[in-house]
Amino acid sequence: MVTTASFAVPHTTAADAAIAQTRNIAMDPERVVVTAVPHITAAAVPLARLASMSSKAVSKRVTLGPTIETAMVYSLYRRTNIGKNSTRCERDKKENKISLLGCNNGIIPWFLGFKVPPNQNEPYRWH
Amino acid sequence: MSRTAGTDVLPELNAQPDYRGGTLIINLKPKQNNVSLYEVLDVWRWSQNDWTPILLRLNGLFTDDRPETINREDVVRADADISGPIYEFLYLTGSVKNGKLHGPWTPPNASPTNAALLWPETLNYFFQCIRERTPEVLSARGEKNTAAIAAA
Repeated sequence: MVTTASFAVPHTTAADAAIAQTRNIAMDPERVVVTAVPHITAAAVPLARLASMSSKAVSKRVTLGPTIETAMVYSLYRRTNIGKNSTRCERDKKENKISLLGCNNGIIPWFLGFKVPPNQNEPYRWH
Repeated sequence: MSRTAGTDVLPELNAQPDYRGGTLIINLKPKQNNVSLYEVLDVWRWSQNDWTPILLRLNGLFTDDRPETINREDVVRADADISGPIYEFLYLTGSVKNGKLHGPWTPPNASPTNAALLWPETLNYFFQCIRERTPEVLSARGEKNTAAIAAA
């Protein structure tokens, strides 16, 4: 996942900043981007930590223009039924962005941690 | 049938004090003006050889809809306006060994060729999950629905 507008990172140039703002993209001076990591939200991970991560989640790339990548953002909403045939989903103010994946903060691995039987090995199917 | 019938994500969230009453929503295209919000209802996984392919069942709250009248912070949708079931495959680097999570549990780096590869055993498992949860998807009726959508 790329950095997003909520990622308070200084832009490299005024032009980059303008383009990034237009396209709802935030950038950093070293072009450090997180690619295809929907579990890492910009708000949750400081740039310094991203830059120091050794996993494949972080890659340095050299580009001349703003980096544009597809991204998925997972959010937690509060769900309530309205009558019998409608649903209301209100974004959770406290946990409005969460990690879906990733062994440290991902909600899926976290759920799984409660379920894995002792000594379970591969192959393993879960639901 | 309720659109959340049989979901596993909502009860799992409900069981956790911090997430009680919560639901997971993906903003699938956060960089685009049009709104694409999908609710995650089910997650199935198959861990083998240090990899875990994942199958998500989603409901489309907004599927590439124009943003003018949509409040992304407070979404209200009639059941009739929710599209689904929609299925999505992902895969992660990570698995389970000796009863514990093993590996980073992260998706691969972005690449045009990093789609999930599913061997027959895994694919069959996921098909079985789809068939059990939403039998109409893999039935003749599902085909009919698809044909009707295509014709429209």
